[in-house]
Amino acid sequence: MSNLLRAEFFKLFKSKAFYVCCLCMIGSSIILIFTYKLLAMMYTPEMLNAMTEQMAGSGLAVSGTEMFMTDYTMVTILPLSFTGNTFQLLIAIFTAIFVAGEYSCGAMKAIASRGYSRVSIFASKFLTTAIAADLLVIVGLITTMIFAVIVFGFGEVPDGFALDLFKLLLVQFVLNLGVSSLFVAISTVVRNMGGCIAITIGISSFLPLVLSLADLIIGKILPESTLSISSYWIVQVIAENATFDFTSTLLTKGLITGILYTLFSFLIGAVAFKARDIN
Amino acid sequence: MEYALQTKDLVKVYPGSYAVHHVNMNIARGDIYGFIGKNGAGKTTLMRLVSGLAKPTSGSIELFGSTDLSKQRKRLGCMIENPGLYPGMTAQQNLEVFRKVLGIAEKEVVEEMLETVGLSDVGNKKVKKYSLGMKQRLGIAVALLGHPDFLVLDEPINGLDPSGIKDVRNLLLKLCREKQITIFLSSHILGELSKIANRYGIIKNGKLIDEFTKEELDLRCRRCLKIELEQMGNALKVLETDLGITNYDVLPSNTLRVFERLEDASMINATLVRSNNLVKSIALSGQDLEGYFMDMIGGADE
Repeated sequence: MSNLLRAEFFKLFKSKAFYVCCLCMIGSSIILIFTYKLLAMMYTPEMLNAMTEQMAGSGLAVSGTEMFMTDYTMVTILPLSFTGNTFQLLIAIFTAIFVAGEYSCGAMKAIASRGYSRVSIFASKFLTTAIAADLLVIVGLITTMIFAVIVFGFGEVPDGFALDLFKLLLVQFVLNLGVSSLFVAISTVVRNMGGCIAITIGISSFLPLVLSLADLIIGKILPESTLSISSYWIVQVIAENATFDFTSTLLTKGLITGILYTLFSFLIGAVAFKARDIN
Repeated sequence: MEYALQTKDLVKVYPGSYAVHHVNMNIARGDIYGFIGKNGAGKTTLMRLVSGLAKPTSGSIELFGSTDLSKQRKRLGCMIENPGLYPGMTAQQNLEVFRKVLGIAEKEVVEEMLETVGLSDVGNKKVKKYSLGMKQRLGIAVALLGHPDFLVLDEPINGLDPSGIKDVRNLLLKLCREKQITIFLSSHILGELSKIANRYGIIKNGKLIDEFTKEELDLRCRRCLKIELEQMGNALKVLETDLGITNYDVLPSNTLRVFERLEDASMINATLVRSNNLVKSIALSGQDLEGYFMDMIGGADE
């Protein structure tokens, strides 16, 4: 297993796709900061409050309603760097290239025929992709921090900031592990780079809409029901947890969601990898 | 005898068809086993079963006399269907990945392998810029990493130029001779296979229909006079008593193969005709592996 991990990390740091994704993450973080700057310049607080209410009232799964505020500083912007779906799209593309690409080029056969157990091969891919995903998050976070300080200043540090920051990073890393795990499982099941990119991007882009639609339908059929399927979609949970105002319920839901997505994805991926022949 | 590979009643079923049909195969240690079959006959599937890429439907596989396959497969070097390489990496980086996978501490094996397969000059070039032949060579280098005891090579000379084919042939012969590596090899270039292998297996529709040694092949394919008669009649008596020929065999459909006095075809013909044995054809015949294979599988596409 340690040999496999060493080989996976070697591949990761030689992978052009990883560096391109890092650059995209940096680019998107910079754009995010300048978007906030423009928002702050163009809109009055009253206009932004109206927009927030309008979007919240639409019933759609809107991530990061806090984006419409005016007191931007590095401290207030930091949680917002976890909103949006840029990270999910990048990790979807990277996972398809890194995991499904091995099937396309045939390298998986060369590794699998060397006597390693299928579970250890899958686990090494799983761990490497999870670490790559967390590295992407760190790259995005650091870029956001640097540019937010340059554009808006550091800002006032509230009481308990260190603990809140720890909670934020912990829950976001666990949730992002869930996201990368889900995409590794999809890549392992689909085993085709093009197909994987299409499916994972499709999931990132359209599933939230489908789930929101399902919520509306449930609300129509069962008016008394409080069930909201979309609130369990991991990207939605990531957006909910992109805050420093943690309640224990929110934090627990975030951690449990991340862990469950990770466990189920690992299970599905490992079973699929073990059960099927490698072509 | 010590075997590198033994399969017992090995079966692989894909929906609607047997890819491998109750195959009992034995490859002795030190053998170079040439595996022959038409496209879709089951060669690659069998190799995939041996290397663990596919799971058998039933039957068993033993490697080096053991059924602990995950342990024994660490002694395998495989190149199946195509060389499994990372196109965005250089040849050196590709070998480096597999060096790490195999946990080989010595970094110099990478250069060693590149030199072995004649790619040391282009080791820094990205694999996506390689020709098919160069990729094949690199695939063989990957298979050779870790000094395997058993090489499973599916079409390793595909895409190689004549000098490349000769290099690979010499390399495989050297590996077998000097390091006693067992080689399980498939190829459609039967002329080349006959220069390397010392044992052969022919697979047709998933069934292993024949296994023979190089000596047996030579015997089966040696030069002879092939005489096709209208009826067998007393032809055998005439051959033995009138012509003094004892080295012959009888094939189905009134055909004889005579292995002596090959230069006396017209005299044998005349003698047979005089004793009322009508000869439909008489010709000097001698097969190579390709001819023998075509006979065995029943010619071209059925």
